Amino acid sequence: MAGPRVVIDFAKIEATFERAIRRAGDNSASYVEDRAKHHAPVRKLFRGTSYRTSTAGFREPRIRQVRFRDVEGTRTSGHANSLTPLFRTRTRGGGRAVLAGDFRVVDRRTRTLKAVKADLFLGVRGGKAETHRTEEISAEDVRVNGGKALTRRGRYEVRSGRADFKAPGSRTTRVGGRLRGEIHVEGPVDENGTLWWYVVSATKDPETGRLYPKDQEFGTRRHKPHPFLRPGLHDGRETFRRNVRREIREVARKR
Amino acid sequence: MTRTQTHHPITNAVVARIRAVGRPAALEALKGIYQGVAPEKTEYPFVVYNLAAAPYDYLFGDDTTLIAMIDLTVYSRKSIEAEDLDAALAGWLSDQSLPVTGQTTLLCRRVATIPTSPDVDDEGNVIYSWGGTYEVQTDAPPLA
Repeated sequence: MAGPRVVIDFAKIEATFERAIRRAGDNSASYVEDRAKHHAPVRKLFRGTSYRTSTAGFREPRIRQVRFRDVEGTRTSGHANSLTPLFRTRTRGGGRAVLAGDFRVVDRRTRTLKAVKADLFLGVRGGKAETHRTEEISAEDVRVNGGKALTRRGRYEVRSGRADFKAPGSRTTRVGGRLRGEIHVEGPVDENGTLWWYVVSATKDPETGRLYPKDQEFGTRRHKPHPFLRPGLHDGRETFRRNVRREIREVARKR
Repeated sequence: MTRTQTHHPITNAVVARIRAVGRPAALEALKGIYQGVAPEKTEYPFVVYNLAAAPYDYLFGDDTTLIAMIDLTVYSRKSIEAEDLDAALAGWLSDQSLPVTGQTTLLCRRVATIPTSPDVDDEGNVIYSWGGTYEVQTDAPPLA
């Protein structure tokens, strides 16, 4: 019996849906990566805290990544020869903030601290501490100089090199945000017909070679756990469902 | 106005289950249960629990499914003891009834083993840890 013939190309349909699922998976993995970065614990290396809005729309502390050569040890000590770090600002005449006292600077080459005595510390330029005898500077200068000032923890991290971070494709070594900066997505990997995306955090402690994110995720005998990968994964569950629904709807609409 | 329930009763229920009368004899060796991290001078072996992830799944109507991923890690000076206690905990908790105050337990199951390596304390003694992640799902009606 003659009649219209309908040819169904199953291979083509399968390939179309696979592409849709891959797109949904890629988007979802990026979302989980973003959420894991949001949950990742942050060591406070620099003074002060500012906030940013992530791509997923969440308000989170801004990670300040300062170029290594710009790192400053701008803490003053309260008394002469005192080792107690104390950042000191004071207002004098016209409400202007003033920075003064004994400052410590991180030597980039030897990774050691050296003391600088100055009325006003402006920063490090060309590896040399720049100081100024004039005591009065604007609040904006305080903000900018203070923005690169290391905390006590920060000075340790700079000395040990633990916080040094080189972004993929970049030749500039930065300090701060290493754990977050090294979270990335790998995949998709096809394992027996199942597609897997991996959100990887494999930052190693340069001193011990120990996987630092693992200690953060699960905790140790002395360290309280700060899970960030699994909460990120759970945050992405609904996004994955939504992305798959959207992609399949899109494929069906084009047919 | 209704109030949404939290994951607090779930962690309470898990801790109560570990401490319950009639628990396996192996668990009697535990010297304590701590949240997050144990104090420095704590006697071994002990368990540390931590809520790793706690999402909400909002359903139609007022009910909510609470999902709690709870890590339970046993610390001991002996590797075998830590492993045995971890196994005893898994048998006592996984796929067992878990009464949660104000909520209906849908699932209580061990879903992963936590891979950890031995640690060394301040005195130079090796500390072994074995642990697992338990997923608890409950149906939680809003509080009046």
